[in-house]
Amino acid sequence: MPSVSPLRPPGAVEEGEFLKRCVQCGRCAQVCPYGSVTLEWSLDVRTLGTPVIRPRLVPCWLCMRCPPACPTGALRPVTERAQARMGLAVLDRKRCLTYEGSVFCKTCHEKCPLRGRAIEMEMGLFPVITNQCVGCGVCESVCPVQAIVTLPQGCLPEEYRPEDPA
Amino acid sequence: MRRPSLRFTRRVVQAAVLALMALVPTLNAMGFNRLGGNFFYFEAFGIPFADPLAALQVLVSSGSWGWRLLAGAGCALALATVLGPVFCSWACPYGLLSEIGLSLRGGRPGRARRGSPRAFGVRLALAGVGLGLVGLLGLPPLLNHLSQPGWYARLWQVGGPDGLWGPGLALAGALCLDVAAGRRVWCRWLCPQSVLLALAGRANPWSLRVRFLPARCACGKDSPCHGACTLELDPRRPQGPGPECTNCGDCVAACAQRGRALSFTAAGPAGSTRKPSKD
Repeated sequence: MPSVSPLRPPGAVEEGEFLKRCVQCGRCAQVCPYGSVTLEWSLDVRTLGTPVIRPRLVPCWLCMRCPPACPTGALRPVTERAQARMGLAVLDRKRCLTYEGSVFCKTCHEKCPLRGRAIEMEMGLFPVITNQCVGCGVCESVCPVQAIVTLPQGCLPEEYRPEDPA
Repeated sequence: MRRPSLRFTRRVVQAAVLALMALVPTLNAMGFNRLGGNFFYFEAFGIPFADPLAALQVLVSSGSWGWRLLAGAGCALALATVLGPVFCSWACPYGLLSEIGLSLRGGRPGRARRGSPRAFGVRLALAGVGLGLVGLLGLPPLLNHLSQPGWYARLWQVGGPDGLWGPGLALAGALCLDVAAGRRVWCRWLCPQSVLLALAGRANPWSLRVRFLPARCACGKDSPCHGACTLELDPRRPQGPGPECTNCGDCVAACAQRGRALSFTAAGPAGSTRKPSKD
């Protein structure tokens, strides 16, 4: 398994299993209306041709069109945003404008597709990422000071992985 | 109006596939999703087609039954069972590129070179060993990176400068090899994807194939048909050109102006189609 797994499209199974199942057809990338999913070109032959998401370029907007397009089950055929299980966003409070005290920014909270659930505002002002976050990367993409990074599912310790809603 | 020759028709089909694969990402970006995928897996109006070797790798590595992938492989194998490995000479973009490369180099027509009969075995071994390793070690479908049509589709799918120089390098490398050698080295010795298609074609005795009728052969020592074959196969054998033949029709066309001893048939085992000789 690669040491750093990339951010996969929503519904992706665990990284090791994903690499075995992904046939590199690119259907997920092709049905994505935003161009969020791109096919990896790298010298690592294990991930070459597989779909990745780079939130700082284009985040995933959780339209959930890609999971049904996958023919191999590398993406579970989920339709609910809360089941995307891509990863988890992490906020660096030293960079965040609100925590630093310069301005009440709120951009991440405003743009979060799981509005009010994945990012909560402590005291109405300070963003806190909750365990409802699925790791879509929108907050990372819109943050004006790049204070957020999205950790892919494969990089998270077991206890930090997003919950599978019952 | 004269009926278009088989060769012309084949070139049109090859060019259409080349263009289609280049256009599909753009069509998808414009919202048209009834066609999508690449040579590993493609969906046309809901009907799946998949590279059987890619599907097999996913199956042996993960043990998961992605039914659309397997159905797609089934479609491709079914086509090959009926028509032989026509994909290679009628649809594969690398097939077209290598034929063009070879004809630009000039040296193929007329001179009949014997292609080594070991080539198919080497390809088969490559596919088999690769499949075994992928299955035993639980690897990703690494044989996909030996698919030249796969690289061609990646040219358009990966996009941007990466899409050009990466896949472009892979395609150019194989083409240089072929042009330098003056023969289709990649297709004969290295392409693992075509192996399953060729085997499917041979598994069915009634699959489309080239038949040789010795009684009609008007050429003595000369072998324009052998010279016409870009895979260096010899059609003038009782069993025809053999399992590697992709039914391109070049030998049939070469013979058409001579004795017309070569033709396509789906008539069954060789013994039943041979005409009795005149003596």
